[in-house]
Order: sequence, then structure tokens, then C-alpha cells
Amino acid sequence: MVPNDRRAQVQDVRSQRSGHAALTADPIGCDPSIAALIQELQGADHRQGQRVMERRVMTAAGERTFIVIRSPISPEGGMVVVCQDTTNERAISEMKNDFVSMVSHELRTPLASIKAYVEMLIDGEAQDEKTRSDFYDVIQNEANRLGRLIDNILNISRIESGVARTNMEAQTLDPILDDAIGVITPQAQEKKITIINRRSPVNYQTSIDREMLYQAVLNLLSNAIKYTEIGGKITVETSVDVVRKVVLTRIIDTGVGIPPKDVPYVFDKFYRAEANNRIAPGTGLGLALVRHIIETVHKGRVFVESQIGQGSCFGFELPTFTS
Amino acid sequence: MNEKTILVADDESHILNVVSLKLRNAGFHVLTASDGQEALDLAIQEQPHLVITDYHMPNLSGLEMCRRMRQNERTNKIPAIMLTARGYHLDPKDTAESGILRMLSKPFSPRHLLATVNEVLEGKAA
Repeated sequence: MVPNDRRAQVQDVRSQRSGHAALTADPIGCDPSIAALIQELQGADHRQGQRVMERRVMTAAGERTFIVIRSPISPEGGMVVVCQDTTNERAISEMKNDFVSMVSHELRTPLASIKAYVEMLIDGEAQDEKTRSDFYDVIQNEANRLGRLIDNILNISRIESGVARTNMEAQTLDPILDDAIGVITPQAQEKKITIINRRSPVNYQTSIDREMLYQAVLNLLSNAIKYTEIGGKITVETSVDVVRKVVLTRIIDTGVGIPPKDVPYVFDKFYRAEANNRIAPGTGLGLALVRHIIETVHKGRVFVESQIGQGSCFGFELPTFTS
Repeated sequence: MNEKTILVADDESHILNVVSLKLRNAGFHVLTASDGQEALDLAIQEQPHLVITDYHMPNLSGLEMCRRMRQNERTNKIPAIMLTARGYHLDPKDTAESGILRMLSKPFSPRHLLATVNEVLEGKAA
């Protein structure tokens, strides 16, 4: 806030909230571009009444956006000018817009298939039983894909806001892996991708919320298919580390891999590796949800290793159940 | 029987299959490509009468593919229809300059797509 009286004193009454640009009481001592903005506001004609404007200022630390509210307080010319640094709010709002646009694209893709195939069936364009049966499969699989996307969006917000109800039970991972592989197989077959099982013969129980863990595994498998080229391989591997008392699951693909600079961030919400964005669109939610499910809900740990052109290995470990 | 050849480019195999079947049932000869570069190569080689393309594809976007078709004398007269879930992000000037005569947004109706194809081929969309 810049209370501005006739002697042109500027006081900085900045709040302690983080991320605000340095507006100091001494315009000469602060960033020159902000000083210039303050001086310009001091020189404004007070007879204009209250004005609200948005100003973008290029500071040494980058571009910042201010909402400037200028209010005259006395007939002699004093005025109060409030400069609110809205840079972060704007960045969040842009991120939200990008997210909405990505989600709508992701929702439209399976919906487009469903609508087109249904119309073809209605119009009698599928002329033999085999084609019709293929069409029913496409509609069913795409409806499932749409359902999974909606589950991802809902669950991430539920877990983040802490309202997710969990149902933890001691059980083994294998049936969950089997179910997820079963559901994802049509998608893999479409790209002639082979799914190989390399499971540990020893089954340890872990404390699991079945529905959530199933969703996490499905997200990992569906990503592996998305980024693996036609004819590739996906290996689902489990092992037990008896020393650390954890059950490990690895999903290893022969896909495009992740650029090293992106690897540390792939589990972050909304993060999308630029190179992979060109291969397949996505919301940047799938892996963030996997991390939440494994780390927040199951007190486990996620990990990733990747080599460009060789493939990626996404995995998680869960503590073994101790009663 | 319609002798005309149409090239369809989309990285979603379901869309590629459904569009191909609709066009084949209507008597067209259909070529398919699942990425932008493959589509461009096929267009130059086969010189189809029309191209139907998605926007978001690996290697080369649908828009860039159409732009490059304009720059090649073998393909610079071929009209294009864009079928995309992101149509509203594209500048109409860019699409017009790239020979894209119609934009259809996904979800789409195969029936409507076929009607649009016929209009474009009959020169009504120019």
C-alpha cells in the first residue's frame, strides 16, 4: 500500500505473505521499474476519482503483475494507492485454464470414439457380426477410459483435501495386479504390446486400500502403454526386500523414456515433460495421483528410473503388513 | 462407385478406423496414417483428392503437415478438413493459409463428416 500525501511520502505496508515483490519505503532503493511505477502514481491527478488498473512491470526478478487501486482521500490532493502484487495469483489462474483445457481434450477423445461408434451402429454401417462386436468392445473400453479419467480427477481432489475415505485391509498385491492387467490388456493389444509377468513366488501381505491401489497400478500401466511404441514390451515385476520389510512392484516399459531434466518432476501435479507432450496429450494428474495413493494413503514410496530411447521403470514399495 | 482417394491422419486408432469405414462404405478409396510425417509422405507420394487430419499427432502436427503440403507443388492443391478436439485454439488465418477448408470438432458425427467431405470435394466449401 502506498499512502501518498502532499509531501509525497511513500510508506510500505506490505503484508507478510510470501511471494510479494519488494516495494520499499524508499522508491530509489527498490527495483527501478517499481520505483518508476510509484513515482508515476504519485504524479497522478487526484481529481480523477478512484481508479483501478492492472500494470505489468519488468523487474530484475522477472515480470510481475500489480493490481493498482488509486483512491483520493482529501480535496487537497492526498490519495491512497494500493498496489497488490497478483503475479502468483495470475500464474495459478493460467495453470487452471491450461488444466481445464487439457482435461476437456482428454475427456473429448474417448467421448468422440463412443459417439462416432454408436452413430455407426445406428446407421447400420457395421455390416457384419464381427465388426459390430469390435464396435461394442471399442465403446466399452472407451467408456472405461472415460470413467478412469473422471476417477483420477475426483480422487486427487479428495485425497488432497483429506476427505478421501480409505478402507485398509491386509492383503496381497497379486489379485490387484491381475485385475489391472486384465482391464488394460485390450489397450495393449491394440498396439501389439506384450505384457510380461515376473512376479515374486513369495506373497507378503501389505495394508492396502484395494480400490485406490488398483487405480494407481492402472495409471502406471496405462502410461506405460501410452509411451511404448507398437510391438513393445511391458514387464510387471514384484519382489520382496526382507531387510527393509517392503514389497516392491516395478512396471518396466520399452518406451520412449523421459528426458533426464524431467525425471525428478514427473510425479508433480500438472507436470508434463515437454517432449512427451508431443507424443500423447495428458492432464498431468495420473502420476500425481499414483504418488498420493502410494505415499499419502499407503505410507509407501514411489520411484522412477528412465533412459531416453530405452524405456522407463515406474515402481512403488509398500511396507509389509505387521499385525 | 466413387473413385476418389482420401487420406485420413489421426493417432487415435479408433478414430482412424471409424472414419475409414464410413468413407469406404460411401465408396471412397481410403489411405491412413497415424502421425503427421507419415501423412505428409503419403500425401506427396499418393496425391489424394482430400486429406482429413487430426491436429494433435506425434512428429508433426496436423496444421504443420497441411502447411508443408502447401509448400510442395505435388500437394499444394489438395484440400484438407481438420478434425480436432482443440479447434478453438487455432487461428482461422493459419488454418485458411494451410488449405484447411473446414474444421470439425471432436466429438464428431461420421454422418456430418461424410456430408462435409462431399461438399469439399464438390467445391462448395472453397
